[in-house]
Amino acid sequence: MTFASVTFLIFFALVLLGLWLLWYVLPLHGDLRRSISHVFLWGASYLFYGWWNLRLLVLLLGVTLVAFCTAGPCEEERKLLSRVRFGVGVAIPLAALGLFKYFDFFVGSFCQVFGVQQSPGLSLTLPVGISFYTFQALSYTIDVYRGRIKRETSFVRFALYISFFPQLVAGPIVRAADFLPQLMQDRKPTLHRLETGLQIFVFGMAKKLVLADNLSVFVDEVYRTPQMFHWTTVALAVVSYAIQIYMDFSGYSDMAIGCAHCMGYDLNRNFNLPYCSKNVSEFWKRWHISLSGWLQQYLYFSLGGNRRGRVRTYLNLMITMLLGGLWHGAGWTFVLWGGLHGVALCIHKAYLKRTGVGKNGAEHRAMRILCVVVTDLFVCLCWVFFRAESTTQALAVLKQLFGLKDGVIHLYSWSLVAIAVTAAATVFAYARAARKKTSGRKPVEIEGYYPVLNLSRFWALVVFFVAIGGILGLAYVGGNPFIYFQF
Amino acid sequence: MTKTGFIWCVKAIAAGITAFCILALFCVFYYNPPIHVVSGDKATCYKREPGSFWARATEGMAWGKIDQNGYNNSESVWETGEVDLLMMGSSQTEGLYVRADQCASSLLNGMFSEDGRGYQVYNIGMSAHTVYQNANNLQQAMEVYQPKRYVAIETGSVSYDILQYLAIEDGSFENLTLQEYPPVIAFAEKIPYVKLLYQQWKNYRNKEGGSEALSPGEDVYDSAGAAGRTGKLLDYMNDRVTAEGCTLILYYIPEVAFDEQGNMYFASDANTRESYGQMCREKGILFVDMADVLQRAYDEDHEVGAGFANTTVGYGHLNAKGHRMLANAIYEVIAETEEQK
Repeated sequence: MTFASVTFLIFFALVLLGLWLLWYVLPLHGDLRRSISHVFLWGASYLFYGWWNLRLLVLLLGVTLVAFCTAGPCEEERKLLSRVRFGVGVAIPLAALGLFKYFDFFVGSFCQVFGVQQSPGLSLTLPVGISFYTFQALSYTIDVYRGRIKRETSFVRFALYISFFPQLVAGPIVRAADFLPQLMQDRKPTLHRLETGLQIFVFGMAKKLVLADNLSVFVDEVYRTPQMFHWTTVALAVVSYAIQIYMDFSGYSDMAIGCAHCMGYDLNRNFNLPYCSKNVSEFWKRWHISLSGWLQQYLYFSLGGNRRGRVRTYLNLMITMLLGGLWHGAGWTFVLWGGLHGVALCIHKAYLKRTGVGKNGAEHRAMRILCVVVTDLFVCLCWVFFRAESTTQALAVLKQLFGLKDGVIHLYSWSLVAIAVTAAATVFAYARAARKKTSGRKPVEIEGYYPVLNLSRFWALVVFFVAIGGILGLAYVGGNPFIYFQF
Repeated sequence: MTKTGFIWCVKAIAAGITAFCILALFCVFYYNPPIHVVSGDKATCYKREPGSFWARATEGMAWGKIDQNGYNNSESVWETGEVDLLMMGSSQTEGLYVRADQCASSLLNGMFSEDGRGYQVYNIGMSAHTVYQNANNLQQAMEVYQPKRYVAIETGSVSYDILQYLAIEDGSFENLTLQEYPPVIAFAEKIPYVKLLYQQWKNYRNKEGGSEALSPGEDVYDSAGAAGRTGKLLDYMNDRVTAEGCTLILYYIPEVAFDEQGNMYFASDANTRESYGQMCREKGILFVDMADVLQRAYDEDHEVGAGFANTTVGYGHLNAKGHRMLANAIYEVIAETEEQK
């Protein structure tokens, strides 16, 4: 059951109806009503997840139980016990992740490197969303251990935090500190929330079904046989993939945020116009914000961050980015992708240190534009490794591109539409930011936004209905799963 | 319901209707294939609504106006009322995926006008009309349009099914029919946006059913008998065309696909096409092998004659380049034959 399916829309309508009855019709006492709504949402989330494969629920429940039972603060008087408990709480979810996601990859790579006959591997089905809910469980365990948050006493609330269906299978990765407090409040669907949430959901749906999926047709074709195409077409495909993955993943995040908003909950923004970044560091503050925040908080800082000297800082950055790459998928292409970003981050850090330029160094407008273009070019080229099914395929794409090879010229019209839409949205965001600008000296900080309308107005309703009708008419119906489902 | 709620509902309904009208207007130019109507003269099983404007931007980007007979021709052709070359075929020949002036029949008209021959080409290509269907309609089409010199029939295959041929010969061939809809649906069918939604739904259903990839070697002669059976349908068509003093031209438009190395391939192989071409020559039929033409254009110039800017390369119908290639190939074969004469 994916967000962009009729089954999900029916499911979601029923969940909303259930919540509506619970909060506005049934004569229940305040705390009881809240508790029942949590149980109801927990059940709905398990139904949502079990729709893929019932057996996967066992793993989800297992990770939830381990995190719930082992979480505890580091107690001075029982330090060893606390550490053991913490170790178990971190090791078991990681072991599950490693077993299901990386076992075959590491065994295969080991056999290849040492020339050992290839083992058959376990060939386990990768449980959808395992990387996301494992990270949520880990963040909770670590935060409780470090005393940042208190241990959750209710299993239902904790299980709902781990399995909350809008963000269960492809994020955003929600921190316990952000979500659990919401469960202590009377969060319920209201007309205002419905109005906003549905618009955000439809906005995400348009990004995914109309732009990302139509782009996938062209991108898949070029990546399948890059040697067939003219280098300009390959370049267009590389740019198209950069837009496709953004539209796909941010579209999913928007749908998740919209769903949660309708039901009364708030999820943090996961993307903030990443292709407007002036450098790679900024890119990672705007791209998949929940993951980069997680990696920074729980991996980079845990390794020592930038407090242990220059060399160690770069090493920590590289480790973080390599593991971040590996998080996306069990393949060397992902490791390479993470490594390239790691190198770029190190270079940028070294440059800042050497020149003493501030984080937003490029103050002049032309320079800022140049920085954005260079950053985007770098990010686009890195996506080649991310998209390719093997390093051989990635190299074939790059060879065709930089070899200026001849071939079929295919000016895919959806790519042009997507580029135009992205450019228009960027210009609009800049204009919006410029309007907000109060201080004359500070450079304009561009911010993402949702085009939310006031649906009590006639023309706003017309625009909303045209958007829905447009999605139905222009959506690519050939079926294309969300890219981040595989992670 | 409160008063505010009631007002909002009225607003929402009005907004819904307005939005629908806006989308319908958009689709007049985005997806507006002309609807099929019953063909009285039976030259084809059905035709398009005469005089209707059409536009398609879902596969290619094209627009035009259907002529007064219900086919895709520029009006100037029919003004003369004379036909020298009659083209019959499926949606490929019909050419609703390229602009009317880029369609093979229009291009041929221009070529014959330029070389002084002044032949009039008339295109009665119609969607879903296979070579069997056109063979079955051939006699009637000859009577209605009375071509003077040539009849060009599209074929999507170079190996024919004997059962289809036998059905054509004994009169039991099942013609294409138009589905009869209740008045409401028949009216809705005329609204472009509804047509677009219907098409989307059909595509969605097709995806669920799964589509088969093109396999090389599907369209080949697996025995000498297979070639013989194919020859029978060729004779059937040729007899009807030559009886009216015309020459039959068969043009083979294959489906195009590419393998993992980027090589173009078709369902038929070169040997089968060569045998088919040889058989045609022996019977006095002119044969245009578009597989060969498409392959050459791809290998030499990296040009692909099928597929559009909004589809995968090679997928679907002939594009403007493909129509140009087809027109050139038909023109060349006619010019060569007439020079030999």
